[in-house]
Amino acid sequence: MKNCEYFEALISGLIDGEITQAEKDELFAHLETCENCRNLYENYKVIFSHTDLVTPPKELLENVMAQIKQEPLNAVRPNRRYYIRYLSAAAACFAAVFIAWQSGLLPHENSSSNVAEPAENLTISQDEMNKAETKDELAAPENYSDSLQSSGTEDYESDVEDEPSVGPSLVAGSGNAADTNGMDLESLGISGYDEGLYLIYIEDTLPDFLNSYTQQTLETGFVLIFPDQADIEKLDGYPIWDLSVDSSAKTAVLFKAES
Amino acid sequence: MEDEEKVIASVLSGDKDAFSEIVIKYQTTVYNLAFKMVRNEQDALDIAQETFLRIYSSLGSFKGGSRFSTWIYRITYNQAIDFIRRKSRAEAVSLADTAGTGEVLASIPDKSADPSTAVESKDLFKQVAEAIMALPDQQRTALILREYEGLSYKEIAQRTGVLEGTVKSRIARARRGLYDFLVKNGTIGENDRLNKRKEVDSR
Repeated sequence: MKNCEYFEALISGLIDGEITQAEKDELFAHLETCENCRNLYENYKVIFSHTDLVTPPKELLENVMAQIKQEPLNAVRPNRRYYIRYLSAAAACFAAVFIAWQSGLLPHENSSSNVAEPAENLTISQDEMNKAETKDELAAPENYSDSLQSSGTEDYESDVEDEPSVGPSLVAGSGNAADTNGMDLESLGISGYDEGLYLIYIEDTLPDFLNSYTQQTLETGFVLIFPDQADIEKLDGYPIWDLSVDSSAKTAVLFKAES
Repeated sequence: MEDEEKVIASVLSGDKDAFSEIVIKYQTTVYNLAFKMVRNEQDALDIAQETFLRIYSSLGSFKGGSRFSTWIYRITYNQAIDFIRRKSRAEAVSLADTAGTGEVLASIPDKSADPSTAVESKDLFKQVAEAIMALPDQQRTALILREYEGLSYKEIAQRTGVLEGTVKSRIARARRGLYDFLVKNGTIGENDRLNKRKEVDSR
């Protein structure tokens, strides 16, 4: 007696048109008697339908190559040691996401009160952004890693991955303000900041599951939200993120709204 | 694979034309993944273009530790998610702008007969696309080549250097894994039938 696992493989093969007539007869005889497999077959037909596969339009190749030829060669992307520099260079034209978590980072005790209260001490002025950029331009990228290691705290910098965090990459650092080559949170106007783990990420949008949170828009266009622990943990498995989650910590996500 | 590494090395050394080989090889997968997620040809083209430009600018970070195809898949998926998010925000703004004046909300494109079902369908394919990334590497590769590139088992076997029977079982296991993921996530009920979605999607 063949089990349902055997027929599941046949269903998959049938979807792809890759089973023999004899196998097909055998499968349909089974489907007559097995409701589970019948449901599976019906659902597979929807989920794995590839009758709508389309041929890419020829302008895809043309447009991509035309655009690449206009751009300076930048295939060697800055790696994470260059990240802070990259953040600064990109800050003017890209939105930024700051993810920080540590109990001492936030200016208030609990997240709900943070959302409700004015964020005077979280305001980031354009001048401060400019200052941060200037400092950053002066710093050698390699110093970033050195400063992390010399901070006396554990180095959380992740291994550089083959699979990119799409968009500019993510860097995690542990230490004080000096670690960030000028892009420390204090210089951005965020007070109440203490040593601890933080992550900075550049992106113009957030993962879907973070979009439902109350967003407090600051003067500068940065937005403050406070995800639950469950969503923080989701970031760990989210393709564009690469986080180590400290389950005991609070989290703030600051990102600049799209201009 | 060796040829692919050479192409990547050429691009990194400044030969921009060599990048066309990467586009030609992966454009079917990239475009179809995007298309399945947005169900719109123009949007899929935009996403595919953005994806290849991102691949180009990120190529230096690919170290060869994982399959290049998987790396590209992830970039495509993320670009599509970003695109969808940007678009939905723009549409929300458009709604807010027009709601007060009583104007017709013609700015939101929707070509389907049943918008709610179409959205549901897009979500389904979005989740399928996301779940694929969680599959074991070999299963994922086989399924991507089947689902987004439309290769036969024989072609997949040749491309990946395994027997057809192996391809067949990898794809079957991948599908079961995805199905279980969708059930676990509540996207579909264990005893649901997705016939309604099918009618919309098989246009």
